[in-house]
Amino acid sequence: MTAIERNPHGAPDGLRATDPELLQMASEGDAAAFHELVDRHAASLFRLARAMTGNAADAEDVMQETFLGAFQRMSSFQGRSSVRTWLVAILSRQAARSRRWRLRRPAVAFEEVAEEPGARARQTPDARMDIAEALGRLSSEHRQVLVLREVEGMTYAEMAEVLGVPLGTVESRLFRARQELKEQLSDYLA
Amino acid sequence: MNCEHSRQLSAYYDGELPPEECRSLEAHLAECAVCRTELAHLRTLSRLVAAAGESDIPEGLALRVHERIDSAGDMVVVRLAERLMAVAAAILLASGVWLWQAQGTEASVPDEAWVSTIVSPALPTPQEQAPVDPVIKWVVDDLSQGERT
Repeated sequence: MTAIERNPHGAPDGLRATDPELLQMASEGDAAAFHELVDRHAASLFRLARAMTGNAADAEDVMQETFLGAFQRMSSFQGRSSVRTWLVAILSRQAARSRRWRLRRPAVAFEEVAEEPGARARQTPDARMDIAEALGRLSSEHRQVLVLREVEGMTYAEMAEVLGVPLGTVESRLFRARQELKEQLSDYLA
Repeated sequence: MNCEHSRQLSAYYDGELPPEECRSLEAHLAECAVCRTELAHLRTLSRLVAAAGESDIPEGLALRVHERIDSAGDMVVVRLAERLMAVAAAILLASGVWLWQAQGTEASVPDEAWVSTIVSPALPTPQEQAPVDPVIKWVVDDLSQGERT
């Protein structure tokens, strides 16, 4: 059963399956349904992975592993959260396993920022490097909650579900993460 | 320098503070420059971190993900076939062992009549007993008299 969804212009967009419907179809053998899920979420998940890992190469690895893990464990999705939240939870675990973040030297990270084609230039390369370095110095737990909150826009309840921790822990980690980041980026806080 | 309300500001900024605490904090913000500065810092940090996620997806990445998913799908079929073959092999082996044991068991079942003979041999009836030899009887009697004297 499919749902009618409207495009941003208000006109009906024909029959378009929801994420849970696509996942259900994929679990029943419809490969095209899973590919549709990939197309819907690839860009935003890449941005999230990019913020969590600090570089495009690791972000690509994390994103590929996320979708591969989702494909192999489709049956584990029980519908208690949105498909998006489920994907983000998988991505968060993959990003935590990515160790190259801690091994990256600032010079290499800067080169990657400069070479990324199509990267939006809202900030100077120096600022982006400073932010990447500052995020890199945070613990994995602190970096996760900051990125999930500021990049993904998740609520505390959603983060608690994704990370498998109590809501109070999310609040506490976010507070401490911001305190640490404030110290590292004090030059940007006029 | 941090105010005692600094910790609340983080949740307030995220819209996660309960309504009553929210109103209380807003009343405090009107009077506390430290907290107002802290709130401004939170906004700046938020903007900086959000910018870290601003990155276009590399060209061809989505296609690479699709290809990897397709490969994984093929591997799922191969692994399923391997598991089915392993199960079939196990069933054949178990059946073979059972049949071998069953044949060996039938050959070793003893004859029921032979068993009963060993367990409870039939004693001869008085009529079946062989007549006693007279000489033997004389010897037995003579010996018996000797014991009494």
